[in-house]
This record gives sequence, C-alpha cells and structure tokens, in this order.
Amino acid sequence: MIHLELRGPPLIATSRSFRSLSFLAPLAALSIAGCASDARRPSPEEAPADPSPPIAAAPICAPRSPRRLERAAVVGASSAVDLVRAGDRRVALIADGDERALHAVDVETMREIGVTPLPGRPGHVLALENGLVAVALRDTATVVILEPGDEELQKPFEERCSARVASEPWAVAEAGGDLLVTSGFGAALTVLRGSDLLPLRALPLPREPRAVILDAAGATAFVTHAVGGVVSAIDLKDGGMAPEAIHLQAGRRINAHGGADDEHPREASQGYALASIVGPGVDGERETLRIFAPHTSVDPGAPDHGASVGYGGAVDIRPVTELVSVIDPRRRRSITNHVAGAFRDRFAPECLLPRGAVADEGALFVACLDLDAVIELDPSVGDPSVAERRRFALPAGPSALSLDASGKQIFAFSEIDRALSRIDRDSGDVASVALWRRSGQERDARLDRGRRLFVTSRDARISVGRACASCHPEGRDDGLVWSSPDGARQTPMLAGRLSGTAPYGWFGENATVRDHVRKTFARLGGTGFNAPAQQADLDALLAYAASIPLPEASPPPDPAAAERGRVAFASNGCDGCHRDGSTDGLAHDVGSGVKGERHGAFDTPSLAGVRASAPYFHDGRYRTLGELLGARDAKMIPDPLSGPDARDLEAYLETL
Amino acid sequence: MSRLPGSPTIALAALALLAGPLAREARAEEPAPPAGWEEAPPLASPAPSRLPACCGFDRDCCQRQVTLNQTRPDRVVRVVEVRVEDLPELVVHEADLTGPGHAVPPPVRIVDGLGRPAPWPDGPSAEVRITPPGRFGEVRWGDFWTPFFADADMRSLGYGMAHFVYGHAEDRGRSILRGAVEFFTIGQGQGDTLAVDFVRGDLEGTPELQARRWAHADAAPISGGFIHAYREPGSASGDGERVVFVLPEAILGFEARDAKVNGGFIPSRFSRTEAYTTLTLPVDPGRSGLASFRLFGFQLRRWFPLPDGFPEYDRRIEATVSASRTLAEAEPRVRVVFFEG
Repeated sequence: MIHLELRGPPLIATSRSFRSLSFLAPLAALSIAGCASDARRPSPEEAPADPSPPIAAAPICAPRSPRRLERAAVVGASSAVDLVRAGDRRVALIADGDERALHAVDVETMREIGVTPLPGRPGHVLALENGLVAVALRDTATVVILEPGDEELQKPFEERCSARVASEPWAVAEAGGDLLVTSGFGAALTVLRGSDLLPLRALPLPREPRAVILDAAGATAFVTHAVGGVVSAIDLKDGGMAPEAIHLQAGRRINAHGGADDEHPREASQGYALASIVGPGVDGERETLRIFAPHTSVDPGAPDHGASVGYGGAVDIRPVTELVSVIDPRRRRSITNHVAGAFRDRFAPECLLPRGAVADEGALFVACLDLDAVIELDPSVGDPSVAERRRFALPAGPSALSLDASGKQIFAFSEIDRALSRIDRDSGDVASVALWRRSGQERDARLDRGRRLFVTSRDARISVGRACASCHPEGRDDGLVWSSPDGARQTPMLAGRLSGTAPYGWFGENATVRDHVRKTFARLGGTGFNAPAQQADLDALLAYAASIPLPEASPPPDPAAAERGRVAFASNGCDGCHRDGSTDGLAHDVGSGVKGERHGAFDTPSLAGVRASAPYFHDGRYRTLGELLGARDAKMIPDPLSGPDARDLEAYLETL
Repeated sequence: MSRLPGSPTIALAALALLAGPLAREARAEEPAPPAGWEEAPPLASPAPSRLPACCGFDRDCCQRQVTLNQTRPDRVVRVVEVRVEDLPELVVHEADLTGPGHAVPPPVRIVDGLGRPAPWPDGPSAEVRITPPGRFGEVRWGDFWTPFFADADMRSLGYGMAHFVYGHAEDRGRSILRGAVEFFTIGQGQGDTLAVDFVRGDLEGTPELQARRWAHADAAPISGGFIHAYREPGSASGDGERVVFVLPEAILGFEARDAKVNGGFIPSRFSRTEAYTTLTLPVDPGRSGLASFRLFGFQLRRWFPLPDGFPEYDRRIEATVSASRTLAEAEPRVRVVFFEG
C-alpha cells in the first residue's frame, strides 16, 4: 500500500468530477512505481549498511549532470518540435511518432546530430526549466522525462522517470515546476509534480483535448479540443474549480430556406493548436494579450431540414472553412464572432487541418497539415485567417511549429515526410532536412500514400474543400450530426472499427468499405476513384483508414463496477448484437428510426472506443452514454435500467 | 551515387583519396546515423506544374482538380494600422441648437421645380426639393429617402428629396414645408479631411430647418485618398466606442454581426447605387468586428480628388477593415487590410 502525500489540492478534487478523476488512483501507484524503478532507489533490504548520516533524498526526476540545455524558443504551447540551446549550438528536438524517436537537429547546419529511441509513439516534446525534456507517449499513456546523454546532444537521451496518465497523452506544459499533460482519448488534464511526476490533480475535460497553453501569470491553462468547438479554461490556483468551456463562435448556419439561422450556430472542429501574444497589458504589466485558437467552422446542415444532397445542406457557402478565434484571456471568451471564410470561393485553398501555431506581436504562423504549408497571418485582425500574408511550402504533413526566441526563425516538423524545416522570417527562405529512420524496417508505401490522401483537402476525387480528416480527425469522428441524403447522421468513428465490421453505412447497405466510400465521395462533391488507374490510390486510402489504431482506454476507475457492467451487458442482451463489443453484422429495428426513414433497421455499430465517440445513435440524439442508458424511450433497451445498473453498464462500456 | 569510370578498385581508391579529408571534416560536423538508424531518402522537390493525373480518364475530375490547383488564397499586400486616439472625434450637438450663440449646422437648400429658392411669392412651381450640403450623402423627408449626388453628371442617381406641389400656391408653399428631415452628408473638409455631417430636424412652415441633432466629424485620411475615418465616443445608452470608416460607394462583402454598414452596394437584384459607404466597427474592450469591400475605378472617379499619381486607379481594390480588442489590451487594433486585386 502506498501512502500518497499530496501537495496542493486533493487528488479527488470535486464530487462532480469524482468518477472521472478516480482513474488517478491506479495511475498514481504506477507512477510512483515507475519513478522509483527508474531512479534505481535501493530498497530497504538492499540499503548499504554504511552508518553515515542520512541525507535528503534527491528528487527522483532531477538532472544527474550539470545543466546541458536551455530553452531557446518563444514560450507557447508545446508541439512535436522544441528548440533548445546546448553549448553554442541551437538544436531542434523533434518527437517523431512514426519512428518512435526523439531527434536532435543542429538548426544552423540543418543536420541531424543525434537520435533517441523512445518506448512509445511520442506526441509533444517540451524542454523544461531544469534542463530536462518531457515527452508524452501517446500509445503507452506515459510521460517520460529525459536528460541529454552528453553536452553535444549527440548521444541518446537518458530516461530519468516516467508516469502513467490518462489515455493518449498529447501535449505538455510546465507551470511552476509542475507538468500539465492533456490526454486526447482519455479526455483529461493531469497535473504531475515536476520533481517526481506524482499526480497532483486531474480534471476530466470535454472530448479530445489537444494543445495546452498557460497565461503569462501561470494562473490559467487553456486547452483546445479537436472536436466540440470549445477551449477549456482551467484555473490552476483553485484546485476545486471545474474547467470553464469557452465556446468558439463559428458563425451562423444556413437554414432550410437558405437564410441565416440565428438559433443554430455553426460548429467548430479541428482545434489542435494554440498560440498567444504576451506583452504589456492595460495595467502596464506583462500579461497574455490574446490567445489564438486555429480551427475550422463547420455548417453540418440545417438541423430540421431532413435530407440534403450531400453532407451538410448549404449550397452557396463553404460547409467547412478555416477560422482562427481570438480568445480574450481575461474575460475567457472568444472575441471572434464572425466567419468570413464561409463566403469564400469553394475552391479557395484554406487551412482546414490546422495542427500547430506560434505567434508574437508581428505575426501568427499556423501549420496546415492538409496544405503542406505554413501560413503567416496578421495577428491583429479579429479573425486572423482573413488576413493571410504569406504561405511557405513545406514537406508533406507540417503539424508542429516552434518559434525561435529571437523571433527570426520558425521551425516546422512535417510528420508525413518526417522532415524539419527552418523558415527564415525576413527572407522567407526555407531549408528542410529529412530525419533519420530506423534501418532494416519494412515500410508500406501504400500506407504512406493512403495517409497523404486521408489528410489532403485538395483532391478533387475525394471532395471539394474537405479532407477525410476533416470529419475523421485521427480517423475518429468530429462529434457532429450532419444532414445527409438519409437524414441526420452522426459521423462514425473509423479508428479500430473498420476491420471485421461489415456491412457498412447506417443501413448496412454496403458489403465493403470500398462500396461505402464511393457514396461518401459523391456526397462530398468528389468525383471518386472510378477509373482502373485510380484503384491503387483507393486501395491505399482504404488500407490506411483500416490501419488507424484506436488508443487503449484508460483503466476503469472502479474495476468492480466495470465487471458488474460486463455482466449486465450480457444479461440485458446487449452482446446479442454487439458481440464482444463489436457487431453481429446485421441490421436491427430497435425503434430508433424517425419519420420518413428509408428503413427502420440500422446496422449494429461496433462499440470499440464508444466512450470517446459521443453523440450516440445514428442521429446523435443522445449526448452522453449516461443519457443513452438512462433514456426512457425504450429505444434498444426495452426495460429502463436502474440507476446503479446504468452506471455499471456505462463503466463497462468505457472500457471498450 | 553515379559510377566512376575505370575499374571499381581504382575508382574506390580515387574516391577514398579525394574524399578522405572532406569526409573527416564532414564527420566532425555531421554525425552519421548511429547503429540501427539510416539516412532517410532525400526529400522530394515540389512537383513541376502539370495536368492532374486524372485528366487522362476523367474529365470532371480533371476540370475540378485544375481549378483546385490554380486557385490562390486571398493574400494581404498592404496593411494600414489606425490608432484610434489619433482619429478626430465625432462631436454631437443636441441641447445647444437653440438660443443665443447656438451651434449652426450646415443648412439644407430648398428650391422649387424652377430652381428658385424659397420664399416663393407666387408659390412653388411643380415641386419642392430639399438638397443637403456637401457632395455625397442621403436625405430623408417625411417617409421618403434618396441618395444624394451633388455633381451634375451624377444627379440622375439621386439629387435631393422632392415633394410634388398640388395647389400649394395659396399659402406660398408653407404647408408643404413641414415634416421631419434628416440628412447625412460628406463634403470636402479642411486640408485632406472630409467633413461628415448628420443632421436631424423639422421643417415648420419655413425654409429654415429646425435642427434637433447635429453630429459632425472631420474624417481623417487613412489610405489612398479614398478611405477616411473618425471615431464615435461611447454613448450614455450603452453603445461603446466605435470607429467609422468613410468610403465611396463600395461593393459590400462580408460583415461581422457587430459591424454596422450604411450605404454601399449589395451585389444582388434590386440593389441601387448609393452615394457613399460607412463601415462602423466597435473598438471597446472585448469586441471584434470586420467588414470587407471592393472598390472599382468607376466608383473612385466619382469621389473626391485622389492624390496625385494615384497608381491603382483602374484596378479593383479588395480590402477589409478590422477592429478587435481583448480586455488585456490597452488599445484596440484597427486595421485596413488590402488584398491582391
């Protein structure tokens, strides 16, 4: 039994967040065990018999060598690239998810100087104040702290400690010596004590949190979300306070009659990045003046319109358009209340998959995964995406940015081509270098090709003005309900749900994914992959979509409840259709159809990752699993579940 | 690597001799990948411009892909930053419009159908027309409104508000000289400013307009001789501080919900020509707004004399005015952003 002595707010912060926070208990134990092991502390049995006076134990995440690196980037949100100074060198550290490695590149010569294999797929990397480096490992739900192996950063970094956090840790921030870690699939923010990675606090967040940025005072953390159209503001001084949702104002939808719909705002999606400007504020003190949240504004169609020709009903405006919201850090709301991009030409090359951002007083730079470019925007405009100044073409898949402390250079990591680029701000010159890769590995060129197709928004065969990843970020779902030729349809999750789940489509009318996506491309305005010469590209796209992994669920907070839920899952007949949490491959009429539906029977969806795929049912009528299981409308579950049974069943579903 | 001529042994020896010192120097600066790692293939250079692959077999795809590839983003070419505190302020007169030494707004001109100013001893002929001062504007008299162009060649587009005369000769037109009148007018101000006036009042049987409200600003030049601006202070009714941009008639584009647009031309059926455009943006803390517009040469030619050598006279001008300010920012950020035409 480990007794936790916590500094600051209690581990279980509020009754409201109790159930989601309780995952920390097993994580805390794992964390302590991991750190103790990494620090090679002698156990009492192994302790030497030397009777010398006791000395205070060094923090187990402390550097073991004199400081070897310092931050060399403008402080902002973390990303997959950070800039440090080691001796007289400036070095970019790049978290390479494909090769599971941390690369070190001398940014003067643009030559790689060292590489560190990592025990997982990294998300973001952050150089810490104490000269160590934090890396979030997405597929192992772990944060590792590394120390340079030598002065030149040529030797592999050495692991100092690690900690388990909620599923899919993505971004990292440092606040007063503590680490803040966002977990994408686990939908949480975990606060780890910097000295030993002890979990101090965790907060459940809305779906798919991504970048985290602190205000200049370090009092508030802002977290963006890939779905849901919100930025969460977390008060770091008040441990009991629930996150505050800042709703991004993405404009008005077009109603069924073609006019502006004042009651239904457009949705927002693709919130991966944050940046800020810090400077003298109203009081003359240095503070965060504005926070930028690049994302997309989405019109998924008039809610009551019924069927539409494609996905989304609007004809004359862009259903998906770029938008950078400016958030007022004091008032905690978006001051951007307009979306000019919706009225642009449908073919205009917009940044629809913004993945990284850096800013200073002079400019905002956004890395656009779909355009293979970084765009420079005027940060003073109410929606900076209206005012694009320059566009820098980069190797494929730019997704992370770092701004040199002098402000003269921007560094971008392109995740598909696995390259680092240096952009000279004055001249606009770009220098790129491909990163080392593991030797002796077989690489599937088809998956690489499919990945490029999945993220491009500029391929006429797929769509006009949308990418596959527009609705399926990370191969998951955008959490939206779209108007479609069949009526309202929520976006299904693809990751982990394509293989072995035939047939496809909500009515189960397509025997193969290939058949299904043909219709999807047509609904998106794409011309499709119809000619024999294009089948290789379609094969590649389908192969890549099928290969997208689903992150593991976080450990159940209450294993006993999850076990009871598993039993309830069977006893209530759920596994008759959702066999082993997957599908029986059949369509069933459970009374969920609405008036005018073509069929009453719907294909049984897989429940893999169901916890992180809200809303639920084909038309997204239930916002949460709890709402679905507690519904009294006899849909799917004939007899309403009791409160405890529903909670147990929800606990089980969250493990799938 | 390309092959060296001659025997492989000689070639390799030559390579080693030639490259040895260079290789040692390179090694010092450029570590080779460690064991288990290798150099990645060189990055592909940007593909040369050519027809999309699908052009060989899919006409629809080809056309769309070519369009996609050729479309360029709207790119900023110039930005003018506006300091709000440097702008002239709108001055409003309400309580001080009567009595000794009262403020005197610019007068309207009232003529009959023969062009004779009032009074008319024999009564007005055919019509009574009210024209505001200045060169561009609009005027409302009673329930009717019209744009106003002072220049003779533009008067067909609107030249004051006229009421027809039917039997008003007996009272010399006094009975027609009644009703609410308001006008907005833009004239040449001092130096390169524009005089902007808004007057509201009543006609009470005489040709003198009894003004109830008069707002005046000397709009300062912002850019190119065709964008001027002034600021409106916050009001007691709760309106925050605003910046008003004054332009020729512009083709209106997108405007944010908080932006207020007067005048301008909406490119749709039933739209009519206007004499001017004003774009009003909030600049108080926590607010944001923008409005976009296009201007063509024919619209600029109607306007006030442009600076000598104005180079872009016949080109289309695309621009957006923007203002945004968080609570933390001491000053609003007001911009005029010009795009590639």
